[in-house]
Amino acid sequence: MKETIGIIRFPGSNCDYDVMHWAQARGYQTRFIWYQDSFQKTEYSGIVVPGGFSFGDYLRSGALAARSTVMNSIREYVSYGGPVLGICNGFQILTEAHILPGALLHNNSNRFLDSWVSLRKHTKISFFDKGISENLRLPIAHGEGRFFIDTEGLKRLQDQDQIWMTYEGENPNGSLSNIAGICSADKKVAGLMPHPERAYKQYLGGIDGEFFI
Amino acid sequence: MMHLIAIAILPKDGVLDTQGRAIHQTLKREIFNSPESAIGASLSDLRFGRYAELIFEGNKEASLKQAEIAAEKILANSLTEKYTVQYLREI
Repeated sequence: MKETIGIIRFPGSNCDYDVMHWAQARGYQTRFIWYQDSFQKTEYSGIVVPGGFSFGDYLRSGALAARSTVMNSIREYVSYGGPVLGICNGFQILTEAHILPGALLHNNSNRFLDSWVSLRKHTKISFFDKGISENLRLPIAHGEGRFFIDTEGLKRLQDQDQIWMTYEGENPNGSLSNIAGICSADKKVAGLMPHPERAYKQYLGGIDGEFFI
Repeated sequence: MMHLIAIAILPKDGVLDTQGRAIHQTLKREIFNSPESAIGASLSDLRFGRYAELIFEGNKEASLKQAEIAAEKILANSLTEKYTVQYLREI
């Protein structure tokens, strides 16, 4: 039987179908999970929190989504050792829920950015790395992608090898230490601002997002 | 008894405030740029945040405690923002 990827949907999620097609193209079956629902941790090989504008980005990006019912299931899933990937708004939600450290603030240009960026992978995360290359190009599409953390937090990320991806060359949003993605100390939970699910076919502009899943 | 409590949230000192910076620049460029605006003070900084008014029913101390919880748990992100809770009045 095919393994199942759970895709969390909030009001305002808009990369849910992209993640579905991406996961299905890589041989998984997928199931959407509504933000007011709970889920059984044993039913999923991995959970993706997709991008979008959950709750209209009201208050702060991800702040309201981070306090919804489904996050309790995600916390249980994380303590059970289940792999979770947050992409873009999904990354913002995981930081707002304190499942990942740090915060994502307005880009230093104060503009929404929609472009392709060069990235470097620094560590191999659990599950959501099926052979990601060390140098890759992925698209970004965000207004609040400037990673921020206090000095001790940054040191902890460095010491525990939690910096997953950094921007190479140009830092598009002013992220601290060029950080584009981080992971938990056990590598099971990760968040990334760029969109691998928008880059798994040549006709999408690139294939570097293919081997995440 | 109803209580009106205000919570003001601002980016912490040292955290780059892009909205405040944009408003500051526009004010300096478009509003405070004329000779008439040179009246003995000039804008040197501006921090931009959020403001919420909460109405509670019950006793005053408990209302203030609840407002503090709201600020701490959701209205402000303790990593990047600071907040003040202010009792406005009984309504």
